[in-house]
Amino acid sequence: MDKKTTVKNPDFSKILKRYEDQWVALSEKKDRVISSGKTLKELGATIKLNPSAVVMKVPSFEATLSPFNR
Amino acid sequence: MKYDYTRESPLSYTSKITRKPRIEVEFFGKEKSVKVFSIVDSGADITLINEEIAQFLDIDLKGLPLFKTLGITGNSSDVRIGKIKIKLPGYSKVSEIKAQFLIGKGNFDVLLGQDDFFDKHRIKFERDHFVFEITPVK
Repeated sequence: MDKKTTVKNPDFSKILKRYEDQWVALSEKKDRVISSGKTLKELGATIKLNPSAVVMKVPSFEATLSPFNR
Repeated sequence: MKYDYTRESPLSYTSKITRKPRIEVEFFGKEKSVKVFSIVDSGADITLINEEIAQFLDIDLKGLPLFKTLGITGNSSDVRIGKIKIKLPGYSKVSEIKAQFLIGKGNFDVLLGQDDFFDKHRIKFERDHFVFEITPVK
């Protein structure tokens, strides 16, 4: 990968809209969700089959994220 | 290397798209690894990792020192402090950073913090045009 290239991302506001508060596994290009679940463990089989998958926890759309607080 | 801030769903109080400095970091356990789209958080004292990631990587947290992390309201949560190996996209080098693993449920994946992710990388935020740059320095 060229170190001067800016790594671009797809528009997650569309891709992740249905996945609030869930763990998702994204395709290598991060342009589609290949699996989702309430826990990361549920994505284990998908990650094993797709080692290039990228996971994230989709945050709530009902609250801002501040320094950790509960 | 430079990265785009993400475009994420607006929070319910606004129609404005949420932008975050996220980077795809590969985290390693003894036999497994997982790529996590982590948030670069200059306000975090130390990298904070969701316990589910440690469990997924079969990292045994029980032997690690117990500490507390404090939120802005003064409430604290238990964390275990240890080290974890990471690799950034576009770089072949695997490095090790200090991290705290949250004990219990957390509504986040990874926050990359000051000690010692920021120590080991030159990080420039250019929020005005939604770009940030990360270069390993150690």
